[in-house]
Amino acid sequence: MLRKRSEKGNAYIEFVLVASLFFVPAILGMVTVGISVLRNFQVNQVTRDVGHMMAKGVDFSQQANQNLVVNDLANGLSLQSNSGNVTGSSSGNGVLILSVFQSLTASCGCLNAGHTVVVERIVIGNNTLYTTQFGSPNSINSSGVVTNYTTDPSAIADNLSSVITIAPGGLAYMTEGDFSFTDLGVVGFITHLGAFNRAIF
Amino acid sequence: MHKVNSPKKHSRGIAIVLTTLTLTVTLPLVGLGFDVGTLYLIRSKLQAASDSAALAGARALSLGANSAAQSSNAVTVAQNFFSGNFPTGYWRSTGANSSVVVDSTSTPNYRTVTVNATAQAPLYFLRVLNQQYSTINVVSQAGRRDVMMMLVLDRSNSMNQIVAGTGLSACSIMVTDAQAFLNFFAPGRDQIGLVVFGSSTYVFPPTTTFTTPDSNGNTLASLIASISCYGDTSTAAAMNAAYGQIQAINSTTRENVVVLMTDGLPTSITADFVADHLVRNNDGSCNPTGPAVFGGGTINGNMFPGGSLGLLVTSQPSILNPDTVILPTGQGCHFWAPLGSYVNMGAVSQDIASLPTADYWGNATQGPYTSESPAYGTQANLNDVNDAQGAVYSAINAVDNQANVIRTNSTLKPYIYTIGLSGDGAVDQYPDPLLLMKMANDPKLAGIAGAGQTFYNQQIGQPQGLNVNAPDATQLAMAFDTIARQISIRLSQ
Repeated sequence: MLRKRSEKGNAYIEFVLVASLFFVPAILGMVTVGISVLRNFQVNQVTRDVGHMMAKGVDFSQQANQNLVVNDLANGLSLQSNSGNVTGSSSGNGVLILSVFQSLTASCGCLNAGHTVVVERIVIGNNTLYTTQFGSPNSINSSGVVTNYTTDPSAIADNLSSVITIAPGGLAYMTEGDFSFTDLGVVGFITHLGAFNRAIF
Repeated sequence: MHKVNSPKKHSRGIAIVLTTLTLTVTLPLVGLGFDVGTLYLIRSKLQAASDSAALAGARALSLGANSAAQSSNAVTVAQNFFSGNFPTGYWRSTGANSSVVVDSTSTPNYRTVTVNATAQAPLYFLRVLNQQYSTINVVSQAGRRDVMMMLVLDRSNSMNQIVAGTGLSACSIMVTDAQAFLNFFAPGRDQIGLVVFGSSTYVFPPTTTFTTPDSNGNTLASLIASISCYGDTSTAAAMNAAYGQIQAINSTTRENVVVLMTDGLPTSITADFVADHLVRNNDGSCNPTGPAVFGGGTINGNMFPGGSLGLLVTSQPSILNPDTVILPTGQGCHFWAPLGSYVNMGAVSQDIASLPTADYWGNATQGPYTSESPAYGTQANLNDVNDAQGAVYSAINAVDNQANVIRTNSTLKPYIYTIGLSGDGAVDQYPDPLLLMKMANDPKLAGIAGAGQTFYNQQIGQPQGLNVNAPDATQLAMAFDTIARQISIRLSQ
């Protein structure tokens, strides 16, 4: 009876052992990846929505509109607001880079004629996380407008053609979002989770 | 022993059975989740790409010399934007493509771009149902409304100042930039007219064929090219002339827009001084007939360069001869002061008793702007006609009220966009940003404590335009571009 009693529940113990070694890590991993996927969706949605709004005239140099993004659209992504500027900050775990590009026609008679240039740029969030490869204008005013974009070579972003072709005289509104999920991960297995997305309108 | 051993034998392998049973439930669920997640991800990206393509296509309807070329450009641009937003092989999807259709006829003055996009999303676990992939289809539509736009350009004398580092006058820079501004609009669809103003106004009625020479061989660009700069700044008269054209066209299907570019404060008002019983005419010799311009003025005691003071009776000017005025001395009036001179200012009161309470078109000259703006503080003193500053204050009120009349037309709903060019003349002659923002009903008014906030609250519900400040004429092209982009955004939705 003693032996019989001691063997009772062995199967459950074995199952628990198997579960603890296999199922629990698997479930934790799935939960982590699941949350990460959900945040990826959110990052995609944020970049898309912000790009769409910018292309429809929303002025993100306004603090109230930046707050709308930070507090609502990007809620939970640890995107920090700028406190009244268009160049970003160094805090938070995410950044949105909003750019308007224009293909200057050859007839503009300006130094940058025939080039694609950045005409507006607004950075919301942590500007140390990501640097856009499309133009690096030297001077941007408080509304996010690049000053002297018709003549300043630093405003040229011809490499935009690697992702999209703009017709001469045409415009493109681009949002790039880069987010780091520092609170997610399974020690030793899943680290450095994050998401990047680009939307062009 | 049999009884003792039996449970042990039966228990053997139970964990494997339980695990297997659990896996038979969890694996399909995980698989379903993975496949559905992939489908959702691809569909979301496809929808974003399709939306982007439609909007970019609608925006591109302004590119091209005629409607056919514009439609063709819209299709090309839409497909470019679709490809740019939906990378080949995104999450192993295949067969992504978009078809773009432009409809130019179904709705008056409105063209639509419809994008129908498809992609094949791969299935992994659901292949057990004999499905290798799932076809995703999304549809997006955007449109572009045709615009009825009056371009109002200031050609006052101050525009003749040479801009440092360019060797060019602000006037000639404005000409180049205003011509380039026209490239943002669609010939054959958009209707564009021109008002050029100094002391008087020149009007070129709006036309959809603004790139085609008219019976006189003029295009809108060639007319702009022939602008030369003289005279005062009769902004209210110019805005009234632009509004008159919008009313004459009376289109409720187009987006009605006024774009004003000015380099200074309004300095003159137009009134019928005789009809308003404002002429003293002490000696019977000063009888300016019809609407006359009381021009010139000072701020802080400085007379505007080139500003004339007194009544100017305008004739119909041409684009080449902008300010054909009959000087009041020619009509027996005393008080015209030559350039830079104060010699006859004291004689103004010999001819007119006071400035009018309203200009020729009924715009009040005593408020509300000068009484609410901290920069001006008090209402214009209409009786102090010897102090031409009164003309400036009156002119500011008149143009503010004229802009209000335009914005509050609830049928035509015109939008006003303004460009203020600073850098010409002395600082106190620069355009007033607050006034231009108020005229445009720029949403940024809300962020300006005091008068800005007050103006914003007063004008809630009225069409919101935009004011752009160009610190000097070299920034004028960018100001025009910014306005053009904003109009393009408004037209393409």
